[in-house]
Amino acid sequence: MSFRELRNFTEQMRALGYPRLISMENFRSPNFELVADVLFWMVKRYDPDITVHTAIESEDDRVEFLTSIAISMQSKAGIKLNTKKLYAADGHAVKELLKVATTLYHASRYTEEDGGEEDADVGAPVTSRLTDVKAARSLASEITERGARLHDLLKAEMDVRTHRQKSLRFLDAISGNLESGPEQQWVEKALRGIVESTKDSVDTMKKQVQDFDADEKALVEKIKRKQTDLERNKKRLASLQHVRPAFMDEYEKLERDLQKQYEVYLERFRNLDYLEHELDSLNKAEEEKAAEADRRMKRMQRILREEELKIIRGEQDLVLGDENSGGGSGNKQIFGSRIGKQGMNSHAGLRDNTNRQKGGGGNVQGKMGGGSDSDSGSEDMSEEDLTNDDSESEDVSIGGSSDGGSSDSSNLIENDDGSDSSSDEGGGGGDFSGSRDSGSDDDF
Amino acid sequence: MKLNISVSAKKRGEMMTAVSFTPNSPTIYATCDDQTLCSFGADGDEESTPADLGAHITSISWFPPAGKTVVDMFAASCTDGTLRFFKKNGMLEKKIQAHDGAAICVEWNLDGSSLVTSGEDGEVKVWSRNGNLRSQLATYPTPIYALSFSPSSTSLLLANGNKLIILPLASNKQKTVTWEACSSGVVTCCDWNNVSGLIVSGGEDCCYRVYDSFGLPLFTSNPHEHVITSVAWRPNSSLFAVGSYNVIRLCDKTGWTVCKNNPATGSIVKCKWSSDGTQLAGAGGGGVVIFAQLVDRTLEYGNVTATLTDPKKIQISDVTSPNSFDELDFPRDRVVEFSLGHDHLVVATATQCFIYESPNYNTPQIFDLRNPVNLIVLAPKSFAVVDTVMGVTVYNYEGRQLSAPRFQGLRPEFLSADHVSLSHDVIAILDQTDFKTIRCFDILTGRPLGNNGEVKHDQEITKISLSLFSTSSMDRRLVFIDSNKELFITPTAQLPGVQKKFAIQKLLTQVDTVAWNDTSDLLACVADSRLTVYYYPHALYVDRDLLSQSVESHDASSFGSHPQILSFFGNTITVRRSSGAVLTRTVPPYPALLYEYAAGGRFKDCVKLCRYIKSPQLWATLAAMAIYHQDLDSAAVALSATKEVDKLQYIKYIQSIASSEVRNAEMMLYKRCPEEAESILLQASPMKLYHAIKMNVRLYRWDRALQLAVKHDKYKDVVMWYRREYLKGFRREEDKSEFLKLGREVGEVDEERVKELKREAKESEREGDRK
Repeated sequence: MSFRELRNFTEQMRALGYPRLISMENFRSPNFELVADVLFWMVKRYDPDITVHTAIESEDDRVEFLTSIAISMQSKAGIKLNTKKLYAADGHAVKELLKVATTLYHASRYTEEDGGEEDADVGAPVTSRLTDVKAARSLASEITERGARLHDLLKAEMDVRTHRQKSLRFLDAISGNLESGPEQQWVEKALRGIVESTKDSVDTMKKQVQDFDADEKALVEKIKRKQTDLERNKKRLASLQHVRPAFMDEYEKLERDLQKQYEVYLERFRNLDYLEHELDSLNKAEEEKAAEADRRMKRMQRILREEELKIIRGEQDLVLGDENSGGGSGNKQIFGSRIGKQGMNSHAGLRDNTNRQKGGGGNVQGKMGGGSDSDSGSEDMSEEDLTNDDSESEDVSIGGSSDGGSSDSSNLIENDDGSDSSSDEGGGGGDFSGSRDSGSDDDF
Repeated sequence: MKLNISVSAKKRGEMMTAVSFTPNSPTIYATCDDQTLCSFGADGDEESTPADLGAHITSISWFPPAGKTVVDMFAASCTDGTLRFFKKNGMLEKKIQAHDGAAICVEWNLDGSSLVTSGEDGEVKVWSRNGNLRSQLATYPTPIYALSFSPSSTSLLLANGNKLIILPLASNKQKTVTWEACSSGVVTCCDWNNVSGLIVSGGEDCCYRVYDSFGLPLFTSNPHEHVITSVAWRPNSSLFAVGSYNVIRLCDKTGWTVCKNNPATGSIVKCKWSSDGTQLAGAGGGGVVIFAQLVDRTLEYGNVTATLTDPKKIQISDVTSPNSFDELDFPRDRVVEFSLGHDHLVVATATQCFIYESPNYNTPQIFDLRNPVNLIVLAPKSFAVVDTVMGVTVYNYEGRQLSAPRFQGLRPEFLSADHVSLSHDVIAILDQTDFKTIRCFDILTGRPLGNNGEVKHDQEITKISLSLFSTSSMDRRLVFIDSNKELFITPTAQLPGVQKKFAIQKLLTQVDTVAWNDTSDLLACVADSRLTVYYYPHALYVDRDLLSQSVESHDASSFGSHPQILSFFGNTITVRRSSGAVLTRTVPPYPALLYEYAAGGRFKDCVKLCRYIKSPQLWATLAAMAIYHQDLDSAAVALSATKEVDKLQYIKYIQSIASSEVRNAEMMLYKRCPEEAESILLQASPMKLYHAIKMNVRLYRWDRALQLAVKHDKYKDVVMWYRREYLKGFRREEDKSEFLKLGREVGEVDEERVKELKREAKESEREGDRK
């Protein structure tokens, strides 16, 4: 039955990280040193605070050693060890060792699973501790904190262990023989490697610095070149600014010509404006005259009509005449406005009006003749006339402008001689407003 | 190459103790120290609830596949000293008390006819298949921790204490071999390769070691941190796996590590390969089972690289078009074996064989395979597939079966790439019964070549290789290396003028490795730490002197001991050192050009090339080629360049001969084949009797000359006169009775008469030629 135990024991000790290699054959013959070493290592591993005797030279020492270990394991871990078998240190001892090893092995395997579930046992009466509650509280927090840290560190243990052992082995080997040996060589090699790599990096840095220097020089050179370029270009600009181009003479001559032409143009424009202004005022005067004539004629007509009515009134009834005049006036008003509209819309009507204005007297008479049936439409007619007047003025102004073309030259000469520019402008402005009015009339 | 490792999900409380693949299905069985048997699928999923076995198992051995019947049974050794047989569901079939103390190892032999157990009591016992004790082989004072069968199941390898023991199974035929295999502690594990016969062992001194089948140490590793707990050879391969605490390593037979993994498994107590060698399983001491897939196998040929990136995927990349990748998927089965070469890629999965042609990897030729493939050997026009049941089968690249050569004693399961060689028309297979006979077969008919197609040698042969370049069977050459590391060459066909006993010629000694070029008949070998390239091995059968001149040899001490030529492609020789490093050497491209020109009969260009290069080796190569192809003008030029005045003179003399038969005969004489030369002369029409007799006289073959003269009753006096002149010159008396008798018959011969006869003969023969 010992094969399986030996196999399991070696495997578990390997997993626990026991620094020596345990052979399958180690326990064929009694080997108390190994048993003692393994026991000591495992007990320390279980609880580093357990104190055991370390001397195993004499028989009494060995017995002492085993009993102390058996007692402490019994009390601390509840593992019962058979010291007789352990003392024999053969295949049967493995069975005893395996008890401790298995406990440790399972503990190490399940560290990750049973994390922070530790029982807090409070056995002492609470009242006696009430005095130092504060201290206990801070202590508790400290304990949990440390516990957590410890747990974290233990978690890393599995990973760290191999490295630690490796380095420990290495340190052992190197401390064993300081003069020579593969470890020493390895250290030397590593140091040499570091020195070499530093040298390399220094070299590369130097090279980099050299490169930067070269770059700087190149850049300075470049800047210089650019500056000389700039100066040269500036000089060239200045020289070019001093040179007078060939077309300048012609340009100036043309400019002078243009100035002259412009003055001529301005004078002509001014004259034209003045003449138009004059024409307008003339037209206005004529209109006033015509209106005066009209009013006079109407007054004449009214007088005549009154005379006529007086004649008729002398023979006829007064009441009857009143009724007739009321109904007739309403009809006639509408009729009259209709005529007015017709007259406005038709060109022929306009022309009639002008004819009427030109040959003022004739027209008045004609109307007098035909106007027997329109009695009280005088005010309407006057309104009509006013609107007609506007359109007439337009016609007149057109006619005036065309007429004025022939008399331009004479006017121009007059203005040249002694007309005021400011009055000209004022005339121009008035003319503009007038033209604007005529424009709106056109729309209408 | 790489191991793709996965670890079983469930961690058990007790350690896993043994693991085994079932022979023909991908299931893996593992035993745990909590007395259970767990089964896993190919991808590592636990298949069913563990079965209770009722004993602590130390090792298990699955019943080997015998023919087509599969027995789902395994034998297990237990810590209570019993040998138990279980069904695959964990049902106990039989229980036999075998050993005092624990039984540690159990192993079936190859055909499943018997099994061997060893135990803590140091006894080794042989059992019949039904569990009857056959014999107790040996008893040792200390436990036997490991055992393994030899490739042929005739002997047993045992690990006892710090020693390895080879114990013959048959009584008293061979001697027991014992050697120390561990510097401290005990040997914990060992395995014997079924193909190469190499032994690997691991021990408590934390080293693994490789030995040959006689126990000579080949390699010792550096010490590990922990004890080596398991070793296992990959079937039909030169790789082995090594398990230690939290370490699994894949190593080449020369010892260098191909890859190393550190899974958190505890000690890998046992590891086993699947029968096709694509998977590895290990029993971890930490209560887990580790599964590993062998991936990233890479093959190279010319510009093309094929990599097995996944068990079911091959990636192909061409160096000349770096952006193009071809990915070949094999959704049904995993790839068991694949081979790249001669512009073809042949992939064997468990059930099918895919043939891809070089630039176009889209449309493979597919045919079904009945058995798992061990080995694929490619040749320019055909390829051979080796499997355990069907043996060797030759196919062409259209996927049509050409032949299936077989012979008594063919053991296909032990054939390695060194033991099979395929060329245009011939397949050569080393006979595994004694390793001294090479059998050559015509690949079209599958019948032995020539009379019986055997090449017999007096030493064990370790490697054979056929030339690949020439298409004619007359130019086919076979080289082989024997166990004394001597390199031999032989034609596969009967060459004119070469007697059978002289056909096998030794080329070199202390040869480590040899390889033929693929585009010419260059032969490269590494011998005595020199790289030697034979430009024209045929020169051996033309003119031995020219062979030694047409050799290029360089110092190759950088290759170290035991280098292997991986490939000789174009001008590049790729060599793998025993440390695993791959080195390349180049050879001049000119010999290949010479071959090309000579194959087209363009000897003028050959001469031009040689004049340009001015290399004496090249001139000698050309001379041998020209003589072999009977282009005498070029031969004369080449010989004058090599300063072989005597040969040049002889070639000039041959050129001056008008009669073609005589010329041929003289050429045969040049090739040192007087019998052939004589028969050419005698078979000519009209018969060149005078020339034949004269030739024999020139060669001092007096008896033959006289025999011819007497037989045809002509020129007796000529023979007599020359004989007397010869004796006069040496001042000796006639001592041959035939000549004494003839001398009395012929009497005195006048010199004038001889000359006249000579003139007459020549004239008559010239007239005969004219006619």
